[in-house]
Amino acid sequence: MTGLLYKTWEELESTFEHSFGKTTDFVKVPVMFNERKCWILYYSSLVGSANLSSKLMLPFSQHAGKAESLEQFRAAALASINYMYLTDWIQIARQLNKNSVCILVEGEYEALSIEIGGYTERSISEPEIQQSIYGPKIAFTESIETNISIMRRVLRTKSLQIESYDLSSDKVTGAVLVYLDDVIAPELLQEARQRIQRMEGKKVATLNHLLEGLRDDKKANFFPTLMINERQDSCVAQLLEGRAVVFMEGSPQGIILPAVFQDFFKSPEDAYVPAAMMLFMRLLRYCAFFITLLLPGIYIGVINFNYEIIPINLAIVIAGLRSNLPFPSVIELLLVEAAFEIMREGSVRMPKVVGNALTVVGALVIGEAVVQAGVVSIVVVIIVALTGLSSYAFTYYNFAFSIRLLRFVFIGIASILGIFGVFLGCVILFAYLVNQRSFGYPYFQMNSKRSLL
Amino acid sequence: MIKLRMLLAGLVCTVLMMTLGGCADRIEPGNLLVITAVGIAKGEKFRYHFYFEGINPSEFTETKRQNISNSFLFDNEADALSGAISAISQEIPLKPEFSHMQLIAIDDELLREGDYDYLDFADRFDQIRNNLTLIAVKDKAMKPIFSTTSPSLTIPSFRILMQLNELHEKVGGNYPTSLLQFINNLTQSGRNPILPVAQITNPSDKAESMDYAKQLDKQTKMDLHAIAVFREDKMVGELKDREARNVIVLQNQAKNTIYNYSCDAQKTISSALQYIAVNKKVMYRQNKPVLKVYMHATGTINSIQCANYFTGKSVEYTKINKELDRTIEKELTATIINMQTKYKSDIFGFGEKLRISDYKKFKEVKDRWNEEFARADVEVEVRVNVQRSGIRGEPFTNRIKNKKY
Repeated sequence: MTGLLYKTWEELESTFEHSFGKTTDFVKVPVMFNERKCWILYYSSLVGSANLSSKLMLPFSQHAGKAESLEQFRAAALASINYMYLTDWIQIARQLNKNSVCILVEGEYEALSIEIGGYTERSISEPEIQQSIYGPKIAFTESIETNISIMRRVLRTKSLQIESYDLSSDKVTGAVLVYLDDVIAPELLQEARQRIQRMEGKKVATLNHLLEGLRDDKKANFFPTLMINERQDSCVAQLLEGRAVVFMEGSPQGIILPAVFQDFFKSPEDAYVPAAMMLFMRLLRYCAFFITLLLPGIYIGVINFNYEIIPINLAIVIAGLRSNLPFPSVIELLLVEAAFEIMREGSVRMPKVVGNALTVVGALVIGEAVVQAGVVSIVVVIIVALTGLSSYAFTYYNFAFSIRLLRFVFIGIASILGIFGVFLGCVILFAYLVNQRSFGYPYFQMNSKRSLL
Repeated sequence: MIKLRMLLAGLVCTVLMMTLGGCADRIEPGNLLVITAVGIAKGEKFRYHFYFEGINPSEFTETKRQNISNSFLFDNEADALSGAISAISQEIPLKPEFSHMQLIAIDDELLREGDYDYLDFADRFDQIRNNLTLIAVKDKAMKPIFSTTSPSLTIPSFRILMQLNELHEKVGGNYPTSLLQFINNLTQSGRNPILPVAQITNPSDKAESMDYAKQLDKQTKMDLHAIAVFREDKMVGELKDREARNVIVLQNQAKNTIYNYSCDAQKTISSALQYIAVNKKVMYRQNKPVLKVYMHATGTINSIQCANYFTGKSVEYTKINKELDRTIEKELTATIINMQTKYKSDIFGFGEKLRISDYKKFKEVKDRWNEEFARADVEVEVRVNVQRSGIRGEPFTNRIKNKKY
């Protein structure tokens, strides 16, 4: 669409309407630029008034009368601001959507676009999902600039490289690929670039869309192959280990790629504690993984099929607790699991003011009442509570979610095939996980050093 | 097309899993009757009289306890164990579960006849573990064995096992023989089996009620201090107390035990032995078998009743060692000779040792091994190393005696 921005100055007003519609936040201000007519264009929703007056209006009133051309004015008055000359209405629209202000001067056929920004942003706050005892209390925000700044404040090196991409069909949604060029494997970088570029021209509004585009296997993705992270320290640690981080405008989380199975058992806290303690905690998390995944299934298998493997004293107690109950063990377990899941979901969606009340009341009242009424046995409540607690041991919520879901599969298979079924399920799961790839890296790679096999 | 095929494969898998899966084996623990022990005696109408000890599981929970008995006994007569099991269902609306059975008690009348027809079921049935303990019951007291209230209100069979294990661990007084061991010893040549013998002293109907647990003075007791001796496949007699203990020691099954010797009239020195190791050897000397026993143990002085016998010097330890050696040698020799003369039965496993060390010779004497055992010479050598004397060196009786008024 190369061509002149306008033929006659008078037709411009209709061109604006044609290009930008009648949206009310589009501002067009006619001003005088050294005796020449001039338009200033911007979106009032994307440009803060304080920034506008200090960065543009003040210099404009001082220098515009003296400048002979737009470039002379820019060089004299707007020296420190990012700028761009545009000759195309589509590009102008794009730049306006990226927090810029455009200036059109009569007689000049290039529009000056300068980045002003300054709309209200959330300030840096503490991490809320990935809680940790030690470490910086800094979480990423919705702004890419802030996030990059957060990263560079720690990694003050020239090898920290940032590549910007304009995603979505309008090419306005910004995303950046952050990496350390002396650490990252070239193949990984190449692959990451390709996948992000693949997203250009596609609908990318939120992090979900980007995640879907970056994933390896788009169909059956039971375990997360990408890590969503909101903490500065763990992102820096991942960068130093040769991984890349992708930030997107409007999302307070970074996507770390690649992420393999064992990465989800690491916590940013691990680095702050002695090695023995770290090992213990990591072991604990692996235990929690198996408890969350298998305990309900093993319980059903043992209770319903392989009763003989329970030690006699426990067997007698379980038989005593299970006597005269209305439901079969499987139904009973599923009931309590469902109650627990609903409680968990409910407490997430609850307004913060009443959130605490629900979990405590729910757990105490429902659990106690149900056992007292003789509807379910207390063993099942113990199993579900232990399983539920274990699922909170993971630092990464999306990983815990996969396991939570899979354990129902294990309950189902155990109720048909018993302990044998549980182990069959384990074999199938293992085969599936071994088959997974994250950016070409085997998902079950167990050594910390990343290498493409 | 591929999707349809996948869907069909999934459907077929699900159907196969539903039909071929183990749904039919599904059990609910609430509907189980956990059988913990079986007693077998000679029957009147049928061949055997079976006693089953079932658990009343709700007594073991906090919330459902009714304060009734925590186990119950029911019996019926049948020709075989399987028949008796099917008869259980006529009495109790629960599914009998044998996987947690841990005790089989057999009346000594059956053992004296060498009748083991009922055991094949226990050996064969997949639910029954072959490491369960076998005991012999004397005086046709099968019912009181399983229905006498124990002081701690545990299940009778648990109580027998706990008592037996405690006896074995602490003083080596008896050994809980498992079904597998018993059958092995019955079938292999070179060692005759033994079984613990259970006996109720002062049996009374009063002891079979739960109220008996409230009484302080309990006259009805479980006595497990005897072992049944077998010759070939028949029970021929029993050994009690110290002799039983000596047999367990000679079988190298004792972990701890206590030996005494007298140091004065009616006064004894007693020593607790640990780390007991017994080696047995059989050799032929001028065509006569010689049974050699070598025992080594570490000891601790338990009590010294004689004043001025021991002051804590190392010379005195040596003295005690020597005395203990001699006493134990004498006791063990007497036990072996008693077995040779009275029962002519090798329950110690000498034949087994000969089989391992000299198979040619063993093959020769295999069929008459018990006779060979009976005419053998016995040589016992004991080395006890008493190393400790508790937290006291010199006994306080020394100080009383040496006190100057």
